[in-house]
Amino acid sequence: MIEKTSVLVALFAALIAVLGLVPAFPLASGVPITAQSLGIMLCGTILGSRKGGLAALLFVLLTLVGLPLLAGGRGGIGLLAGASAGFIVGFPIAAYITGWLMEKTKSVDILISVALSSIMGGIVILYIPGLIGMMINAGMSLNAAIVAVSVYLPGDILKVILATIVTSAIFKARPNSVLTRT
Amino acid sequence: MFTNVSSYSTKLDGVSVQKKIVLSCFTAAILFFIKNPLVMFFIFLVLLLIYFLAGGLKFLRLGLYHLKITIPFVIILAVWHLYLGNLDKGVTLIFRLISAFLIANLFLLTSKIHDIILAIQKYSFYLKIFRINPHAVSITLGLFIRSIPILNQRAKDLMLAQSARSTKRSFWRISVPLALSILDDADHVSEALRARGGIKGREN
Amino acid sequence: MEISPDKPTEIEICSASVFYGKERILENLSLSIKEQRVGFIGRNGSGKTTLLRILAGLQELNNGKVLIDGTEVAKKRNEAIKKVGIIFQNPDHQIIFPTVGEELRFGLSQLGLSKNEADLKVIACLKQYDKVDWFERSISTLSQGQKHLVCLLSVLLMKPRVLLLDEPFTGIDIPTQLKLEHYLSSLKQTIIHVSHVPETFENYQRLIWMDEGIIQADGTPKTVIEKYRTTMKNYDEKTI
Ligand SMILES: Nc1ncnc2c1ncn2[C@@H]1O[C@H](COP(=O)(O)OP(=O)(O)OP(=O)(O)O)[C@@H](O)[C@H]1O
Ligand SMILES: [Mg+2]
Repeated sequence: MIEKTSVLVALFAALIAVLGLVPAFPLASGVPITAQSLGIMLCGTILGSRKGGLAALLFVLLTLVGLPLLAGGRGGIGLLAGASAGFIVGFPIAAYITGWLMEKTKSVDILISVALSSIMGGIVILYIPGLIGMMINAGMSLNAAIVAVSVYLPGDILKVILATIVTSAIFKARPNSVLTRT
Repeated sequence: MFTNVSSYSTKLDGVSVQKKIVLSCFTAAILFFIKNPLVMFFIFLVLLLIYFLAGGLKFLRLGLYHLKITIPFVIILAVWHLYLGNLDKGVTLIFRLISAFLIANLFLLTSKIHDIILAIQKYSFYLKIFRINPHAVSITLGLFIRSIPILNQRAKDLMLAQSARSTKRSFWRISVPLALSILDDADHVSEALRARGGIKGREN
Repeated sequence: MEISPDKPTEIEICSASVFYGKERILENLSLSIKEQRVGFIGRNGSGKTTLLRILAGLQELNNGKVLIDGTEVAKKRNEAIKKVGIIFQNPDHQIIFPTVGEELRFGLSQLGLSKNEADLKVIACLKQYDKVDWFERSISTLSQGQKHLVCLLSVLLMKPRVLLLDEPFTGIDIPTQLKLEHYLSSLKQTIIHVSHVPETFENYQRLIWMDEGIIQADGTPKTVIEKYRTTMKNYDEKTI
């Protein structure tokens, strides 16, 4: 039903935005992490490839046009010259791939399926554009860029765990709402 | 929720938002093709001049103030390229970053968020070329903007409810109820949407 | 389309049944309504909201049908939105757009009006309620009661013949409630109103008490409320 699709896309895009307002907490390494990419993972694990990707795309497009939705109240086309440009551009791809993997692993236990999909989509796939962005915008070599983005890794692993907890809890409470499992 | 950052009136306030969007995206894109540090620095100076001409010294100062979020990355770039001994590249990248933010902020500081949203809504109509239902897009867009303050308030309420019954306060404890409440909302809102006729046209 | 008081709207529920999974929520319910003010009362979970949803054509029936002035509301959606409007309990579940103007315009453009035509009507309507400055106003700056008014206006603008209200006054202070009730009482539409507050129905022509998806009592508000009260009291004494 198109109404439901529209509403879910809008609400999950808003969820990504709101997760950016949650105060970032600095990890032991001193790098602040935000919950925003948790939202990206949830888009994929709950809504699936198409709807999840659309929600992330809506969020990214409006952020780049200028709404201050990125963590820290950032927004605007200037972000494309910044350190996280690749990650921002990669958000919709990451959500799409996460959802796609969820759809492909329907028969697997949900905990494993979510953990696997969000590691692949939310970390492996997302870090590819993330690294490219770093190389272009910081003029780093691939190796240097890998070292640079690795500071985000502990936080992102934490988010995979959270995404797994949230998605499986929702699956228990409202099985029909986890669209990747219906 | 989205209040405008600038209360200064500038000469660019009257220019249509559509024009400003296109122009700022176009000039920001050009920055990525410039490899010469001197040219890049020159563009930076021109941008400062534009700020000054548009709104005077105060507005220029405001523009510079809003560059503060670029500081961490500027420091990284400076240190990294000093270490490599590649100053040309470092200067180019730093001023590209700064100029891109100056361009973006010039647009944001001289436009009302509400007008920006209206402009996006207008542009999104052309998505029908890609067989995307414009009616669905405009509804999704409106609902997205409308939901942000609601969900933000919901998150705060949940945090409060949590700290009323527990000494620990952490975000992850509210993430499940927050996500569940969103799925509930989705049921209700899509029904309310159907009650008033739903989305017209093709599936998007 | 004007609402003429001499020709009352006819609502016909013909042996409607609704199941959620195996659980039956409404069973073989038949009801015919010609009155202009009808109330529904009943315990939590008795099926009142479900009944309103089938009247609005939003809930699929497992059996039976619902006709409003001869239109089958679940099937002919384009006609149904001209016949019936529904207001839910929580305005945040109903308001789709960020500003009052856009929200009010939406229903009218759904009926096929152009943006300019719709805006003219919206502004005229806001003027009528002395709220012209609301047009550009962001919904998130409105109070709860003001949001309820926006919901009401957005549905009224579509001029439905039947207005369905699902506990629209919960969480609203008494002055605001009185104001909204005043708006409602001035309407010519048929109003079907679900509420837990018996006083709401004082001036209504008919009140129906539902329990477990079945009609328990149907009559004038006075007699039905009395029955409802005594039964609920007995319940209380038995269970405690
Ligand atoms: N989506 C749903 N899935 C399963 N069961 C449902 C669903 N919605 C409602 N029900 C069940 O249907 C029954 C009737 O619900 P309904 O919402 O119509 O009651 P109500 O009379 O409006 O109650 P209240 O006074 O609390 O609003 C309840 O037992 C409820 O548990
Ligand atoms: Mg109810």
